[in-house]
Amino acid sequence: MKCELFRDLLLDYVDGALDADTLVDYRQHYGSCAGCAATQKMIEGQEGMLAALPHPKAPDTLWGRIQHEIADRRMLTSLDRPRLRFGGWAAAAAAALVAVSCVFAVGGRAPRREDPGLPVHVVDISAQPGAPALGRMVPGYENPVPAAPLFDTLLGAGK
Amino acid sequence: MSQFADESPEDSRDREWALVRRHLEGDRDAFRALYEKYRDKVYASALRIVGEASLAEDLAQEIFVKIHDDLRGFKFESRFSTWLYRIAVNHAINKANEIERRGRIRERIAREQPPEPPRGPDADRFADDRVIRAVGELSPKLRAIIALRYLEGLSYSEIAEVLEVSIGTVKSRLFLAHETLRPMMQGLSEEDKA
Amino acid sequence: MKRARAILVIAGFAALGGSIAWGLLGDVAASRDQALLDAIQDAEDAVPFAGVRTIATDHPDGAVTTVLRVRGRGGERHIEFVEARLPGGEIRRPGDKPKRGEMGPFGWMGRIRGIASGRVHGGQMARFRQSGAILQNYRLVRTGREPVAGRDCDRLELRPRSANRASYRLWADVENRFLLRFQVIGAQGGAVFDMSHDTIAFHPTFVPDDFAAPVDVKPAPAPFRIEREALSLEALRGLNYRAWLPAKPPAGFQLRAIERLRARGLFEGISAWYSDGMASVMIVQFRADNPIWVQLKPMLPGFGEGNGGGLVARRIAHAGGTLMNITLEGTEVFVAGQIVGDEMEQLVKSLKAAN
Repeated sequence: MKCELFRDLLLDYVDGALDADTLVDYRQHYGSCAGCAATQKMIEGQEGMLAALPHPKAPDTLWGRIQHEIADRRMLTSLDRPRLRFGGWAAAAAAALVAVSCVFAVGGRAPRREDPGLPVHVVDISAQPGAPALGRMVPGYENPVPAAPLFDTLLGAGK
Repeated sequence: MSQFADESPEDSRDREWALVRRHLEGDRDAFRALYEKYRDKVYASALRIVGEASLAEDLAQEIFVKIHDDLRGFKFESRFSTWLYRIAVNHAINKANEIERRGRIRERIAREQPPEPPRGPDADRFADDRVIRAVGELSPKLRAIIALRYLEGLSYSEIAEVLEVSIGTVKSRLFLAHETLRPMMQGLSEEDKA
Repeated sequence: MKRARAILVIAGFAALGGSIAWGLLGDVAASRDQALLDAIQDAEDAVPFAGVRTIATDHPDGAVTTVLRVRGRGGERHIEFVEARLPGGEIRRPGDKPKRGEMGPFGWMGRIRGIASGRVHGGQMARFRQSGAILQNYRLVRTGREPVAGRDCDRLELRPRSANRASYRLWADVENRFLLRFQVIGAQGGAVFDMSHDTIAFHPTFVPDDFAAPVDVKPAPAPFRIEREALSLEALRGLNYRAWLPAKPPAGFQLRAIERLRARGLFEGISAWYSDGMASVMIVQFRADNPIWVQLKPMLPGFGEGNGGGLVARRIAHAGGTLMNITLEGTEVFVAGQIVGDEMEQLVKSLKAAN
């Protein structure tokens, strides 16, 4: 048996997975090759130490953290589902929403109808005098984490 | 460890599949049961791969949240444990790679160096620390293989399934890990013999 | 503990929808790009520096150029306001009196010598902490070499994968990856922001006073001191007004953080920060019956008129982004984002009650 093959079989040997015939050739090589024998001893020694390492326990705080994050994500995803709402502008679409909500409650896989969203009418006031000053509320690029310039500007204007 | 320690691999697989099904049907205790079974394993593997306790806790949290989210897509073809380890190891390796890129893991290891080796009853723990540090010097991929083999006790074929590589690759990576550990752990084996 | 929760929430959101801030990017090229962005981000903390930078910002009412003297060492920063050139040619320097009615930094900040001094992690470079998210939404292209402030720099571009987004140019020092110039090209073309070093010295000799807070800094008058506190989504349930979040943020944008902002006795609101790694959308909201707001609102251009029945959203759009405002069930909602086009309107239409 050549050293290359011995090395290929080494892990299987340590695992006790070599068949009888291969085992004979393997042991023969082990007895006659100091380098390979040293390699086997090295791996056996390491295996012993690695298997004896302590098994750290997960901290008790972990479950709470997981629960909180799942709850947060649930809330965020629920924004994307049509919800049954009473009063206000959603009243007109309530019938359609009831139908879709029932499907979700039962856990069915009905195709999701596209939510039209709020019936908003957009009024562009960009041309109004003073609008450019208001436009400064859009975050600048000085700070990648915008520090809510809206508040600073609104409070500054209110001074 | 668990009340199910004596059950056969098939029973264990079926029991876990049943828990997954119950979770998908809305049973909130089912996910908790799966979590309790694997929390220490996931945390321990994460710790071996990223090397620091607070990072490992963050990582364990991300992993379990991802498992919770992805359970909807579980195919009941593989064992739950294989699927779980796959997610856990991939996450951990990526996180460890990210830390490696910033070159900070070596600093962390150096900072944790004890001032001098303790003797007597503390000597064992000292040896453990050195072994842990030696493992920390491996690349994240090799750390993962060591964790799956020696911490989780997975067979080569199980590891191959988790990492989605051939059994041959698993063995050659493991061999490479041992060879890389050789100079770092050589002193320890001699101490052992002394 | 609350701050820790907020960070966990952020980490969770960063992982939502497959976009992961840790960078689950498969191929070698992507890893290399990410390593470069990470290196640029690390450089500002890793390389002590001193120099002068000019920041040109394109505003709807004209460009403003600000000159700042800056120093940095580890996590510390010291920034001094040297001068500002306003639209129309006026020059403003420290010690000048602000003009009546002037808003923003040329209001009461004009009297202050040092703008900021203290422990800061980030500035421009904190942006690149989200390198994984950035590369999901932008392509990194190397466009050659160019000197800035006498140093050889690699010129890079971040080109957006979605329409209606700004692109970004970076000039990073060839040797130490320090960001010497940063330019934002608006979605419609044309620079809307340009930070460029006029001078730079690396590893300069600092004196102890270099990072001391300037003595003539006036703290903001007490009523205007803004307290900030990180919040989780769950904590929104405790608010005494409806909080609104978009079911459909713009493509690539994810929720990164929520904060409560308070000016004691005057004002309380929340601010939700969405980003795609480079561009940001801020959603700020507060009770519409806030007494200051009720007084202020009619004085703002375009806000005085009634709604005329029906849901009205006001919009101000310019090259740097869009501002929208809407009142929903007693909550005043402002959405300010560095995006142009329809997506802001879609965002507003998709607002849903989060509590």
